[in-house]
Amino acid sequence: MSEILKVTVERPDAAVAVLRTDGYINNAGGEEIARQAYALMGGGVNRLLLDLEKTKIVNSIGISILIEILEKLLDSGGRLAFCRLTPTIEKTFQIMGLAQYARIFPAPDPAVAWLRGETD
Amino acid sequence: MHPGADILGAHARLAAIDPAADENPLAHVLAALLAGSGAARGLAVDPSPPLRRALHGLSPDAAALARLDRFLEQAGSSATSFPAGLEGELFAPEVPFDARVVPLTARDETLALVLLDRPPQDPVGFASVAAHAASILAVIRMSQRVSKADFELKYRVWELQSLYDVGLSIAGTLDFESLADDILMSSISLLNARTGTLIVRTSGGAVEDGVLVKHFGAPLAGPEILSSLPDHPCRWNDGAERMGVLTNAPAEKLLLAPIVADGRTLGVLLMADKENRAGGIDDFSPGDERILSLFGNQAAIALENARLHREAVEKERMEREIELAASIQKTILPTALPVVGGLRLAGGNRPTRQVGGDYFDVFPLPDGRTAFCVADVAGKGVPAALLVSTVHACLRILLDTGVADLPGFVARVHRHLLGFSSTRKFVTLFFAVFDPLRQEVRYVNAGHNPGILIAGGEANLLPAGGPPIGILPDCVHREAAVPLRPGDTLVLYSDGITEAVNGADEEFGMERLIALVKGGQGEPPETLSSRVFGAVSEFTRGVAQYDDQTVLIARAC
Repeated sequence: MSEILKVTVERPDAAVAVLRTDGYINNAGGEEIARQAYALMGGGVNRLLLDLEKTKIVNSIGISILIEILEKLLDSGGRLAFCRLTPTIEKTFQIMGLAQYARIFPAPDPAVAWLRGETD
Repeated sequence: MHPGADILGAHARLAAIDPAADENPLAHVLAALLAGSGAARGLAVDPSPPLRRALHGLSPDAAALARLDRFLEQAGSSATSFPAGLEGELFAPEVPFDARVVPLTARDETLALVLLDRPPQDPVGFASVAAHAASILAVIRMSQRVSKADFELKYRVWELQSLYDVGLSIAGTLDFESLADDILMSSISLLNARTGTLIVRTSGGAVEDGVLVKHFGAPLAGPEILSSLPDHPCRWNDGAERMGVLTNAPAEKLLLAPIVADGRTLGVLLMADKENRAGGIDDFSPGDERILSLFGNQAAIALENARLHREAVEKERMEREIELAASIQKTILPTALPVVGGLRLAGGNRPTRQVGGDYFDVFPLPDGRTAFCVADVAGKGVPAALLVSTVHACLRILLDTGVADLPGFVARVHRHLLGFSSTRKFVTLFFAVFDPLRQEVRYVNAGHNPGILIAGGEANLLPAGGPPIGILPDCVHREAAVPLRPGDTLVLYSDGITEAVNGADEEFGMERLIALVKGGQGEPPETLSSRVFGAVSEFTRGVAQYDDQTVLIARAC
């Protein structure tokens, strides 16, 4: 895993976007996620899944940026989900409050279903 | 042209601000103050970092804004006015003007400085608008502080949880390599470092012997750092001179914590470039140093645990081997000596470890003679016991081929051991054959302690007739013969008897042994054997012995 974060975007449908990260979610990594997320939101997509399968490390600045993204999504009536987190990152998100307003899933499919409103 | 003051409209604007969600409350505050004053143009700045500003109807040049920022960076939240002349620069070229500075404060803290292009038309009404605006900004400031404090509190919980988790991992696993990953990643995460390196010497324990190197991002150092490790944490901020091996480390700022286990510096945790939200790099603080040292301590504990576990596993394996070897050896050493014609035999062996290097045996021969021997294998423990079993097997097999030629027999045993013992362990051997018809003992003493023959109340020593077997390819052993008439006693023993030491580091010695066996002529051999062991125990009085003890007594009858 690199310390430079790469983000790829997948669109399972018009309302949902999946952002797959590979690397360190720090200041630069968080900014890259935010750039992609805000571009999607600007295009009317406010249901986002962050698939962190290839991210093993996150710092507090990266988390604060994720919180900013989450706040903006909630303000616009959107949803944010995470999937495939390492146990350490999942625990970190729980502690830092991200899991309070975003949902965490073990795999992408149930996360996308929740974002679509198909499940509670 | 200036609009008229709209006090109610200004309050309504302020009331519409959502402190929690509004992205730029300063712009709304400025708009409300413009409405409440009747001014057309203005500027509002928040002097607390990070600097924020809102402008309306103004387009000052970059130099004027830069001057404003420099002033605010210095003055911070204590600023209550702008530097002289700045209004002119900000409002130019719209001159003449009659600018007013309105500080919005709460509890002696300036929340915003507002510059309007004219005095308020309704000073009393404007004062109420300014007070309302200040209260809105105070709520926002407090909300920001609460949010920040909440984040910092959660961050501390995260910090403690990470240390706790690493501690739990240490207790739950002995996979140091995986733990090293956890420790490196947790350190980087919590310190907001951009890259990090962990290097640790693992010789004497942990994973494989050698050096374990873990990098995240560009390597900050290589294993060579292990030769010059400090025993305390170090911070290198702002170009401070680094230790030699870190001179070219690809980082602006570095933090180092040594990994010290059992008083030895085994390795190092290195962090590079603590990032901030603005995209810059902050100095590593004493608090960061403390955190990294805690992770260094965790790594040290994990290394120590792994080493202790490895030692425990090795010890357990050795004990199992020794127990197995001991059980094998028990079947090799005679538990009861055979009844043979013309001789009464007694003896025993007392190993200093569970398995030892001494051997004795008695072999009744088909022609009525009796062969007996005492041997001592160099070394101790399992390897010595294995060689003992080889000597035993060798003697058993070769005895079937006959012992008419005693030196030839010993030479065959010697050649066999030469081929077997790759480590060149040697064996001293006293091998004797008693002929009851001739009342004679023929023997070969291959480097062993001299046998003691007690005959007619006199003790005679039967010295070596050649070197130990199993080590020198070309060696010759001489045979000797002595009479062994009824009542005569031949005592064979290992050096564990004569070299047994007491608390004063004195040896039991030949003289004591000879006196003992001379005095035991009237005793049955079993009693004499027990008395020898008892005398040695009495002499050593519990002092740990390092050599096996063996006695074999043959008395003609």
